[in-house]
Amino acid sequence: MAHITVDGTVLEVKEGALLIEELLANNINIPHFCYHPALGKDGNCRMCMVEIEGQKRPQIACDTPIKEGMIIRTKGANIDRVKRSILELELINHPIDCPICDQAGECSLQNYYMDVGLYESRLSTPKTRGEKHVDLGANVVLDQERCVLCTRCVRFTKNITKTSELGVLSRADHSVITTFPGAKLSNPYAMNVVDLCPVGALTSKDFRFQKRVWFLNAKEAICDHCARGCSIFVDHHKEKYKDEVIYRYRPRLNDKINGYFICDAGRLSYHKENENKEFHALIRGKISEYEYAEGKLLRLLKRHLGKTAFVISSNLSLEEMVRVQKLAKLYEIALNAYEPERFDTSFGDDFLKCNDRSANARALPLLGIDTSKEMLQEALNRVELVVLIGRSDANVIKEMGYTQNIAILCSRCEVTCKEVELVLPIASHTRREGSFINLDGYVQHSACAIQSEHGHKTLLAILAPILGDTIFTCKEVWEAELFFYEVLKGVSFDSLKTTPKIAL
Amino acid sequence: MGIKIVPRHGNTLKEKLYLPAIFGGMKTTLSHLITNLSDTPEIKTINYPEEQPHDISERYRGVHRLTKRDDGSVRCVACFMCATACPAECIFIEAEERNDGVDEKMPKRFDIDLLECVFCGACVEACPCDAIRMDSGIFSFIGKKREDFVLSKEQLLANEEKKA
Amino acid sequence: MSTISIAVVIINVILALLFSLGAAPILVWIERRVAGLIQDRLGPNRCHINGIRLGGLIQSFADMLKLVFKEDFKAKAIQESFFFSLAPVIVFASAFLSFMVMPFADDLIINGERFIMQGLPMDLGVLWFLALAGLSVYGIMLGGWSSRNKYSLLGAMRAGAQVISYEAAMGLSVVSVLITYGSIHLGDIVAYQGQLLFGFIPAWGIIIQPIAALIFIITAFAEANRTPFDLAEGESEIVGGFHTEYSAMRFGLFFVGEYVAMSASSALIVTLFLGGYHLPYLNTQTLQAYMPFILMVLIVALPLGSWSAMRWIQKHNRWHKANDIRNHESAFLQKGLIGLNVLVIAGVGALLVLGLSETSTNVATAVIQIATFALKLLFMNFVFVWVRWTLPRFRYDQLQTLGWKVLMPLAIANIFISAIIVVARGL
Repeated sequence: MAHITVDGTVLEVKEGALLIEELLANNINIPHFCYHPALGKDGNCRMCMVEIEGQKRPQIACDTPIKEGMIIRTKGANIDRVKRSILELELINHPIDCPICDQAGECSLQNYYMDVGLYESRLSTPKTRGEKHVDLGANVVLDQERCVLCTRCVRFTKNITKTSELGVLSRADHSVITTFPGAKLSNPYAMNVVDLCPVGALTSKDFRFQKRVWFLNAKEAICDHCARGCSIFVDHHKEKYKDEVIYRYRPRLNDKINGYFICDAGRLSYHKENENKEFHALIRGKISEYEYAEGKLLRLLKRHLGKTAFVISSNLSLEEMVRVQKLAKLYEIALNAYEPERFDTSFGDDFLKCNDRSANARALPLLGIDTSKEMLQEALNRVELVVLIGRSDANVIKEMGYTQNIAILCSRCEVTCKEVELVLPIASHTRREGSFINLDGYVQHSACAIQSEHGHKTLLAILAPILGDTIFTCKEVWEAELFFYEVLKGVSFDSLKTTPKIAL
Repeated sequence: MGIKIVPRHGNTLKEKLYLPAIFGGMKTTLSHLITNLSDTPEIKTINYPEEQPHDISERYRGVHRLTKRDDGSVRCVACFMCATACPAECIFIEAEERNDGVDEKMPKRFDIDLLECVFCGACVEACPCDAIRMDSGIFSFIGKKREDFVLSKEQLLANEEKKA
Repeated sequence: MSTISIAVVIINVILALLFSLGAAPILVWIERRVAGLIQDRLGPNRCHINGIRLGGLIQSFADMLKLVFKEDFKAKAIQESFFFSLAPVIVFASAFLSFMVMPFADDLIINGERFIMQGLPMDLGVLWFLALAGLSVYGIMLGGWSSRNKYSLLGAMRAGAQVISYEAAMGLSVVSVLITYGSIHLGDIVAYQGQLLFGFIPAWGIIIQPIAALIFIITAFAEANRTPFDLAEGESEIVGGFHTEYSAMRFGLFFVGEYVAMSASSALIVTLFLGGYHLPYLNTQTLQAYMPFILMVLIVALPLGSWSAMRWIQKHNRWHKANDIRNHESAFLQKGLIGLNVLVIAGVGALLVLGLSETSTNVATAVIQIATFALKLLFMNFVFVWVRWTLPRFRYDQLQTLGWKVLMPLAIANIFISAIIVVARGL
């Protein structure tokens, strides 16, 4: 432990650590381009200048180890002049095309210019022009003019993915980021460079020109694309006279699970959340009023009392599973979660992606829900009604020789045939909250519940009147039901923010 | 220091009675009525559809128009600054990729709902490209349906600057 | 019943209808044109039938027609459909009926038979008016309440509170008038005003009872829901007040009702305080005695008045475009005026040449008195309009303060003073 003085305040910090790390950790604003916590120091942008007592010139905070008793100034006319000069140099060839730049609004250059810049341009020669719309591959578009050559992207491919597709070519004014001739950026995590890029040089082809970022609302959520359960931000916006649209997923820092990154497949999985606009409640293939279809579900359950099976998806949240299980006990319903397509061996790798594609399959054994095909087969032989919850793969049970009534409760469904008694749409992943247990036993809460206009209720809201109580929110489920489970001892709803780990 | 005592009005009997003030007011309105019935009326009204107003200044905020580049293409780059600045949220833009080499981005759709517009001019102020202006001088816009008042990109481009 | 008596009754009813219902479009026109001219605007002047504009009067008929043919819209939230529809009917009917007891001329005697010249020949007089004027607020409150709209309800509550506070002052001011005149029958009241005070001043109510006249006029404004007391409507604060939810002819009835009520109030003011149907210095007896002389004055005065009117028309009644059909109107109006002159002069001349019988003198008296009453009524209506475009609306607390703390004590004091004087004179 060392004590340093920053702008007159004494801070207790780790000796030998990088100065910028500790300053950022103490919420002290240090402008920087090339430093990134996951990529470490590089020292090429010179933006993070601080004055250190006893040193002749200002020093870069990202390459200065902390010593006991350091006295540091991050503000003041002197250091601001230095920062302004460096920024002027960084911006010397920058095209001021903020109106067409997707980064505008979350751009470090813009922010720093407003903080310490605000100078008039002194450039008398033409700016060096670069190529504007370079397709690097993997949905990443490069604008060479906007680049400040911080090399975060180069270091990402070198250190994190270890694929080294990117590099810096040429010298001085003509330096550009590029791939090797004939090669393309092609790794399953490539789109993280878009997030890493502090300026608008690297933009995502998927998000390009879709929305200006200042319109977007960010909500915290959990990715449900595989069992890793990466922490993400869901950026969504409701345009006037239109429904809520999700525009992108961004990684959210979670040291225990995904760090600063997510995979491209998970990042692009938001598309499925926007698709259910034309999804209506169906009764034997005919579009029905939502409320009527909801009543129909209850009537079906009552009609086939004791002769029903629930086949649930392993993507349901912990809370939903508990509630479904309770309903199954109450109505003497067989409960199974057999899912043949759960594992996808071509998907996983050794970084974040994993073969198990279900978001919450770890909860099934914890709650004692059966997943075996034999038990499902046994149940199918004696029931008259199968309710698929959170999934629509009716062919699975049909292949097992089941020919009677089927009801489907899911958020996405292509089945419209008349054999299905009832299709009741439920709120999709980002439109309802829920807790998930990931591959390693970390319990996370996805608090993203974007209101949708088409009025699909959450599964919890559909179950509450059938169960005859008023438990609608996850917090109420935790307090009323999950409290009793032995494995979840010590885990409360409020502690989910800290991502607790449980024994699997 | 510096306290100014302002005499209060309304405390004399004459003022409290109100009637003299009321009659005074009625005298004023009657004198207007009689003047306007006499040979020298002071009525400034113009007979509008036949007589057009002649005092619309250059700075008058009329119906919007989208300006063009020298080559005649749309100047707007769909940066959404106007839509952001708009207090009535009446500007609806959809952006698209522009592939003709002039620029990278342009509006696919640029609609202004004149029924929602409050003609404040904030969009003109906000535009970094001088792509939207309100100098068309059109002060009266007529439509038969609500949809007629939603001006499309083509309509906005067709509006011309009012020549002095 | 003779043919004549039936004819007189029918003429009476027609006259009452004309003065109340027929006046509504004219009053609307006066309101809009006077408002325009007071504010240095034109007001409605475009509407025409074949070029005839009558200074914009045609606009009123066009508006009436529009109201009749408009969609009769009723919001879904309105559940008390019956009361919702009943409300404008109450307002209209009570205003309309209250006009029916106004005498437009002295009792007409034809062949020794006496006819009371009012819509409904009855003696209730002031009481009838007070009763019905108070009733109209039920319509407003019912309408405001059944509209299921906060603004409407606010307007209705304001109207209710306003009428309660002003009816008291109005009734008390009338009491002092009645003490002075010694009758509630309006015919007697007008006859009393035909006398001369001290031998040279007409004994009009406004001269012998100025305070009661002032209070009554103020409260009449309040009863008619006119500015400065139109809080129930309050369009700048509560949208349209009680009639926010009304449209088409349901609104039309409220609208016409307002003007009929205004006309009725004016008629009562004229009757109580402005000498009713009397010309100053010429009460019925004097009028009958000097009838030939008066008719001769009429023959001279009518062409003079017509001539100046024609001059004004020539000068001002022009349309700004040269070849417009509306430019033919002036010639038409002038011809009309000349025709009217010829008719009146010929008729009156014939009467004078042939010599006046008793019956024709009586009928001529009645016609002159009806005309006088109509002119006074028009003037009082103009005052209503004039005040509306001069004074701003009261604030609610100011309204109540004025009603209870000023007008009410003043009216009570006035009763005592009147009573003392009447008793002292009787001794």
